[in-house]
Amino acid sequence: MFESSDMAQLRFVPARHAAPAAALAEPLLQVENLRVRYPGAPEDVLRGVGFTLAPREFVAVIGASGSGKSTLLRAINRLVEPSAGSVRLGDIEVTALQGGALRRCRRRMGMIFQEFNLIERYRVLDNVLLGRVGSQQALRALFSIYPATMIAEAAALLDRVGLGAFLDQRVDALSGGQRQRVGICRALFQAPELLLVDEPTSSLDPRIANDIMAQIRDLAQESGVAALCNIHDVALARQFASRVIALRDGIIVHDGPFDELDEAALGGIYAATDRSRL
Amino acid sequence: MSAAQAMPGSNPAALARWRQARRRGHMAVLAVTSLLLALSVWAVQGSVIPGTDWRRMGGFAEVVTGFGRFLPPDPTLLPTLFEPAVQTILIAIIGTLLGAVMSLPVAVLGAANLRPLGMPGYLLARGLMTMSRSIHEIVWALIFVSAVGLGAFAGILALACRSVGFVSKLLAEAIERIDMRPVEAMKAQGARPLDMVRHAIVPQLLPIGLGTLIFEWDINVNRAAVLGLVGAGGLGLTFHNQLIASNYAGVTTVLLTILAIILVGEAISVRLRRRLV
Repeated sequence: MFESSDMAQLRFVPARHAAPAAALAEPLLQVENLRVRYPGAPEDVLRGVGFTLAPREFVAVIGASGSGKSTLLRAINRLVEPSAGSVRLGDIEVTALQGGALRRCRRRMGMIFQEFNLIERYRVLDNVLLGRVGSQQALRALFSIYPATMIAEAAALLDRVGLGAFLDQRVDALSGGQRQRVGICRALFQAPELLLVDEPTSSLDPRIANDIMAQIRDLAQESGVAALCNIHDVALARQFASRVIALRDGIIVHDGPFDELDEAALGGIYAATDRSRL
Repeated sequence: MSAAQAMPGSNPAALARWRQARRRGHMAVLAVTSLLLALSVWAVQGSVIPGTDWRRMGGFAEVVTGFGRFLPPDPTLLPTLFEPAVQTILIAIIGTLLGAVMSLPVAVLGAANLRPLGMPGYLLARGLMTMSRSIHEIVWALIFVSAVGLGAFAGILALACRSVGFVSKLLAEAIERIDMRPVEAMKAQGARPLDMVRHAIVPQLLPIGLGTLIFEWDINVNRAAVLGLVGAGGLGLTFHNQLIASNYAGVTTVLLTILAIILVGEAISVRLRRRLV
């Protein structure tokens, strides 16, 4: 058992992403000519998307609804199957992986969802511990048996986002902002190299949205994790990301510093998207 | 012009459609009520009046005397009821559990969003659900009494087969309503399929499954009490024996015991559901 004072002294130290200095020069993520078409759809949702992401980089993806932002994130970790193109995480071609190899690769990518996607009947700490369920032995995972050090680490992470006192609460008793913090902790507890963040603040009020974005950015920087973050709110993107990828109708129309985007360019990005894509 | 028509911004064509839809609703209720009334009159005229032995029924006084034979209950029978009462409860418990085990594959096969064996498996499962529900427990008991002989085992099998229809149908519907978002989250973090089932699906199904099971057990206590009438063990058999021996006071004692078991079962069921669901 851990006392709360012990918890406060513990600091979350991600296990896996201590990248060697030489690796920093190499891009962490390389996406090339990525195309996605949903079954039965008349045209591609992503039409030849390509970009790279360096380790520890925090990049915002902006665009109107239906521009392909969520599909892009889901195609990177293969929740959505790309119909063509390449996704490389480090030196691994993600699109070529199957079965256990794909699962091991997904463990290197944490994902934060718009609607949290937590196990509502589980307690806060159990939800966070699930972040590493895939890397546990099958029987231990089945019966939710975790080493004491892992439990302490998850508790310390919850403490870090201000949920230390709530770790024994059921998730369905928490507010939206608190749930998203649990989602952030679950993703970071995976000790990923890359965070895929899909509209993390869309279900939250503006004041909480700001706090959540700040926590995602700070924790990602502290942990040395790169992040690709879909943000619908341009002001938030401007505030938290130095580099912006803008999508329109499945094509990248801007990739660079936010400063290079003037009002006219933003107007173009959010101009009447092809309504059939919404 | 009505007040609604005069309201600024109201749409006269939509209002007319609304009135027409409401009129159609009223007409449908009237038609169904009339049909039910006509069917009731037809049933009384065609079946109840000619099919009842009115001469044997006698006058009101004789009806009251007939009921009077059932009172007071015979307390001397109580010690002999303990064993069949326990047997009734055990038949209900084991029958429900066996039914639950049998329901699991049927529910998975019959869930429209899973269909692991495709349309043939889905249709087979849905057919089994309907068959289980449409055959009365007494009929199931008669089938198993002839198959495995008299006694509790026939009762257990009858209740299990009767339970499959209800439990698997509700479970299949629960599977169809599963929130896939937690499943997606676990998939995204590289969890194994078994982990996804254990942590993202089972917690969603558990409250519904347990609630259904407790409710089914509650009903099965009731069913088990009458299965003995056809030789499938429990209190029903004692009830049958008392009736044949024309010991009507003993019949009342058995009925009161069944009532007590059902009341206790219902109380336990309510508490369990409140705690688990």
